[in-house]
Amino acid sequence: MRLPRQSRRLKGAPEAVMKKILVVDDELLIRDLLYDHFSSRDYQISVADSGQKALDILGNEKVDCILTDLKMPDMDGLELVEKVRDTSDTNIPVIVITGFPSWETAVDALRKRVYDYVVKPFNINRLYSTVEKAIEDTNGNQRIGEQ
Amino acid sequence: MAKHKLLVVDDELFVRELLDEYFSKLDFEVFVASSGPAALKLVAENKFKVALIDLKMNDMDGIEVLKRIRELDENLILILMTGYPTVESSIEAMRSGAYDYVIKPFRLNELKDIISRAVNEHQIRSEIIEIREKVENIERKLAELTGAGTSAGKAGKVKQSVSVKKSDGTYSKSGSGAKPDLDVERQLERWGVLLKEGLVSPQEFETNKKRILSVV
Repeated sequence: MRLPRQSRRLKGAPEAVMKKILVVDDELLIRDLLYDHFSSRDYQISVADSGQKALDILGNEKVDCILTDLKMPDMDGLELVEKVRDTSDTNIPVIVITGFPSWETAVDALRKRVYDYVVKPFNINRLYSTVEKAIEDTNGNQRIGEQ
Repeated sequence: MAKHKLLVVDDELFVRELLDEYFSKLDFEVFVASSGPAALKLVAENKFKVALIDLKMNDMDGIEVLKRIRELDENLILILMTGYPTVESSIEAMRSGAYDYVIKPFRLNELKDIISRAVNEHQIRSEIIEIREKVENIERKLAELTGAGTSAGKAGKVKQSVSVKKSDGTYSKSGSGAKPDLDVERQLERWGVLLKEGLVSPQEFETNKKRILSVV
């Protein structure tokens, strides 16, 4: 069994300029898919197989974007979003991914200020663009707020 | 207190009449529109608090109406109603600035609760913005008085920088034993600003004034 990988970085890429993404999914397949795709594109990736582990990582690392599954045992994605908003960086963009979409969870997610609600199966390139845009938009907003 | 204005946008006469009757009894001033363009005209002419918009209408769909209304009034509470909920339209509605996405048929009292919650949240948000502006204003005034840059914590620091003369003739500042970093006049001016802005009570002002003057 492959263990969850954390904060692995491509050789040669300077850490300071690399954006960090936290992937939260109880499915190993999705974690691996997202890890492989984003780490090959100059992103630093941390992975967590549960909401609690994600919160532990957020307590120690600065993350630029969170990709989280909606349906997970113990703590679902929306509960994680709520806790992130309460305890961590309130502006961090969160993208929710789900294989069980419903208008109820979509409304709930957007009310909790998630950046996007992505339905599985998803187009990985489109997800990549969404992540880039989420980070860009958030940085832009912070710059405005700081002035 | 003036009644909140509520706009109902629905091409079904039955829904317009039902909501008009119900919310008029609840102290809302209700306006109805049977189409998007009619709704936009009303929004341009009135200051509404809440708009209830049907998603599926003939000439202009609810999402489009919602977006156009948002352009006209960024503070209006927008609630989308639909008998045909989908993930896509719910996402689009919420992204376009809807407060909620309500499914028909709904219970009127549930809709009333949603509106009450929205109005309360809106009120709290407005108050927070107002307080933030006030604090920024005070910070600016303090910066002018001290002739230096300031930060969000400066107002709080004023209290800490007030000095007390100890029996041995030294100054103590919040127990640190440091000398006051502002002269008496400046300190009094700062406390005066805080008093004027309602951030300290007259008693607190008097107490601190005595402390400041006791140093002289």
